[in-house]
Amino acid sequence: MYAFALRRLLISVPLLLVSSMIVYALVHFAGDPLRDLEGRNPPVPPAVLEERRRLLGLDKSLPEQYWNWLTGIVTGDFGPSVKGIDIGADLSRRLGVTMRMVILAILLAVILAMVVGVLSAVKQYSGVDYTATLLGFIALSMPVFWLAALLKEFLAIRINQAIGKTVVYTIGESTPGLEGGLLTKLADQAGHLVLPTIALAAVNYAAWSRYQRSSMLDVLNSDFIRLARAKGLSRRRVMVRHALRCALIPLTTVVALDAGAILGGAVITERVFAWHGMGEMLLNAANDQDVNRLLAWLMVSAVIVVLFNLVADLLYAYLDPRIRYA
Amino acid sequence: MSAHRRTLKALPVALVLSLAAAACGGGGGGTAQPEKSGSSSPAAVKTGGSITYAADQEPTGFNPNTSKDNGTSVTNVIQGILPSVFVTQPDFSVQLDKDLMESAEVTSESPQTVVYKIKQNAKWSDGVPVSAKDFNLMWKAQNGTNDKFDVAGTTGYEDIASVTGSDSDKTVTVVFKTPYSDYKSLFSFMPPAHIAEANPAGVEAGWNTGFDKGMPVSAGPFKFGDFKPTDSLTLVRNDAYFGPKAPLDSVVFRFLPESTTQPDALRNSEVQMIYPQPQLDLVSQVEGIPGLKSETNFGLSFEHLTFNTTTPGLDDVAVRKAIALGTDREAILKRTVAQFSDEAKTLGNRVYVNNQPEYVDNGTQYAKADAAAATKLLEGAGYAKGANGIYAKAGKPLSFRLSTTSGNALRETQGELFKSQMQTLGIDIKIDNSPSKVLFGERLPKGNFDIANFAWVSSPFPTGNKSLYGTGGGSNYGKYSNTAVDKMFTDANAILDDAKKAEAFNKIDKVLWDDMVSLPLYQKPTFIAYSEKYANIGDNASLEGPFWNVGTWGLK
Repeated sequence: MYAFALRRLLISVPLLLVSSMIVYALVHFAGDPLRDLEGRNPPVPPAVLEERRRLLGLDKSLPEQYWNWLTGIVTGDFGPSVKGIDIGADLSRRLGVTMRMVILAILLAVILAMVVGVLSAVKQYSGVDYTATLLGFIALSMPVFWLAALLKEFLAIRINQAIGKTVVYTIGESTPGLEGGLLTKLADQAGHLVLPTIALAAVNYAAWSRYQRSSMLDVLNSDFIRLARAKGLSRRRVMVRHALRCALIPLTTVVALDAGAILGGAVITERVFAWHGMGEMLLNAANDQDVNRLLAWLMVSAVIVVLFNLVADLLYAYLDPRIRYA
Repeated sequence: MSAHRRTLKALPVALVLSLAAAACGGGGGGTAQPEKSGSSSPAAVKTGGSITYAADQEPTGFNPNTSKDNGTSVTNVIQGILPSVFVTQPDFSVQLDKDLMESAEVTSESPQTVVYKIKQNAKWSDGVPVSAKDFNLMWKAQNGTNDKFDVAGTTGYEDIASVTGSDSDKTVTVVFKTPYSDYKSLFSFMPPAHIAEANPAGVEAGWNTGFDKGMPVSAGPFKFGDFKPTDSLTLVRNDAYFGPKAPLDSVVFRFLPESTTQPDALRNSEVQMIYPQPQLDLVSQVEGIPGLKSETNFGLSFEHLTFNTTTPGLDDVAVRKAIALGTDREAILKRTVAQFSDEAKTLGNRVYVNNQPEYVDNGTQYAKADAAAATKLLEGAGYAKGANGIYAKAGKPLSFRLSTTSGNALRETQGELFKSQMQTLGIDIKIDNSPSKVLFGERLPKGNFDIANFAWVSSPFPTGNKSLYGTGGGSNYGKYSNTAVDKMFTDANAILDDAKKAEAFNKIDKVLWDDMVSLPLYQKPTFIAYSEKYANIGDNASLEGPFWNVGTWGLK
C-alpha cells in the first residue's frame, strides 16, 4: 500500500509542473502587472518602473522567469510579490484561517449527510424522506450569499439585539485587540465561527445527503443485502455492516474531492463573512496579476487535492475489502 | 479610492491617484484645531474608548510617498502618524499644521525661497526631534536624481535646488531652481529620516521597503499598535505627542474588502465607522440603521468625457462643441448622482470643482443642452444628415466609440444616456468598454479610444493639470495641443500669489472650454456613516479623507 501511495504522489509531480507552467503563461500573457502605475498622474518616473520591473524579474523572458520561479520553489522561496507581500507568511496564515472555517463545517456536513441520507433511504417516501429532500433542495438551490444574509439577520443581529450584547459576529475570524483570558478568546472565536460554519455545512450537506440517499437505496436493493436478510442477520447488522459500509464508497469520493477544493478556498463564503483565507488569496492574486502569489496558491491547493484523492483511494480499500492495491 | 475590487465590486473612480501625489495635502497628526474660519472647534469628549473602521483595503506598506504605497488605504492609516506641513481642510482651503509648525513663509520670489520653522517641541515618539533631516530626505528621495528610490512622483521636488537646516535643524530653508507655486503640497507625510537612514541595507531600502511592516515611530496623535496582516491594524494613542493628546485609546482598521458586509457589521456593532464608495442600495440600507450619523459630500473627483483630438471627426473642434451642446448633462445627473443628494450639480470647470473657493463656472454656454445650436455648428462645419439620420462629411459618418470602465453600473447608465442623446442629435455612438486595468493601463495611454468617460481628481494644487492638458503631457490622453495653453501653464505654475494663481488657472480653463478638450459632467459623492456615540468625526472630501482630524475623535 505504501508503494501505491508513493506512486500516486509521484504521478502528481508532472501534473503540478504542467499546471504551474500553464498558469504562469496565462498570467504572463494577461498583461503587465505594473500597468496600474502607468496610468497615474503625476506620472511615476520611468526609472522607478524599470527598477520595480527588475526587482520582480519582469525584465526577463518568460522561460527565464519560470525557471527562476521553479528553482526558487524547490528551496521554499515563493519569489517576490507585485504588492510586496511576504508570500510564505501570507500563505500559512490564510491556510490556517481557511482550515479553521472549513474543517468543522465539513465534519458537520458529512455526519449530517450520512445520517439524513441513510434515514431517507431506509424510510423512502416517508414524511422523514420528504422533509429531508425538501430541506436538501432548499439548501442546494440557495446561493451562499443569500443564505449568509439570512443567517446574519436572524442568527446574529436579532439575537444580539435581543440579549443586548454582541455574541454572534458577522465578519472576520476574531475581534481585533480583544482583551481577556483564554475563555473570552475562545468564546469570541466561537462567536465568529457560527455563521460561516452553518453556511458552509448547509451547502455541502445538501449535495452530500443526496448522494448518500441514492447510494444507500442502490445497496438496499441489491442481492447481497437480500441474502444477508435471508440468512437471518439482525436488521442493525445488515444496515451498518453490510449496507452502510458499501453505500459510503461513492460519498467518500465526493467528499474527498469537494473537501480538497473547499480547502483551496470557499471563495464566496469567505467573502461574505470577511474571512481572510485561501479563497481571498486566489481572488486578490488574480486581480493583482501577482503570478508568484497565484502560483503559491495553486501549488498548495493542488497538493491538498492530490492528498485528499489519495486518502479517498486508501479509504476505499478499508471500506471494500475486494479492493487491494498492488 | 482603491482600485481594488473583486466579487466584483465596481470601481467607480479608477484613476484615483490622479493628481494625487501632487495633491496629497498631507495632514499629519496635529490638526486638533481646524483653522478654517467659521468652523467650530472640536466638541468636548471623554478620554478613552476605541473605534473600529471598516477599511475596504489593506495597506500595502506605510510610506505613501512610494509608488507602491501611494493610495488612500495607506494615507488613512498614516494620517495620525506622519507629520505634514500643510493640511487641506474640509472646505478645500490649505492650512498650516500649527501643532507641528511655527511658520512656513515665502521669503523670496527669485529664486523662490520658502523658510519653514518647526516647533521646538516637535519630536518623534522615540525622542528624536522632527527636523530639517526629515525635510531633506523627502527632497533627496523624490527629486528624481537617484533611481534607487521608489517614488510616486517627482513633481515639485525636482524643482528644488537645496534644502538647508539651521537653528539646530529646526529651521529649514528651501530654495527652488524653478518656481513652483504649489509648494504647499510638498513635505506631506514625512517619514522619519533617522529610521530610514539607520536601515542596514541603506537609506534607499529604508525608504522603499523599510516601512512595509509598520511605522516604528510617530509624530502624530497616534502610533502603531498591532498589525495583523490580512485582518486588522490597530493604532494606539501616542502619549509622547507634542500637540493635543488624542481622546481615543485606539483606532482599529478592520479589513473588509466586500462593501456589502459593512451595513450588517455596523448594525451588529462590529464596526463603528464606514467610508465606502457610495452605491444607492448601500446608502439607503445604512440610512435606515438607527443610532448612526451619515453624510454625503461632494469630493474632488469628477466624471468627464475626454475627446481624442486625433480621431478623424473629433479633430474638428466644431464636432466636439456640437457633442458638448447636444449632451444633456442635467438628465445624466438626474439618473446618477442626483439620486444620492439634492445638492448634486453639473460641473463647469476642469481645474476646480463646485465647492472649491476658486471655482468659477466657465462653461455657461453649455449649461443647458441646445440641440439647435449643435445642429447649426455641425451644418456650418459642412456636415449633412444622411438617410440613416447620422451626420456625415465627404462620405464619412460621425461615428465614435465611447469607452469607460466595464462593470460600473453608474457609468454604464450614463453611457447609454449619452448614446441616445447623440442618436437624437445625429451622431452614432458605439459603447466599447474595458476593465479598469485595461482602460487606464493600456487604452488611454496608447490613445486607443475616441471618447472616454472616467474621473479625474482635482486638488487645491492645480499645477498638476499641465500633464493633463499640456502638449505631450503624460496624462494628456486626448493628445490636445495648444502652444498658447502650454505657455499659460508655464506662467501660471510660477505664480505664488493664491488669488492670482486661481485667476490664471481659470483663464486656462476658459481656453479649454473654447477648444472643448473634454466635457466635465459632475463631482462624485463621498459617503461616511458612523455611530452617533462619537463626536468630531466628519468627512474631508479632499484627498485627506475622513482621518484628517483623527486626533480629535472621541466618545461623547
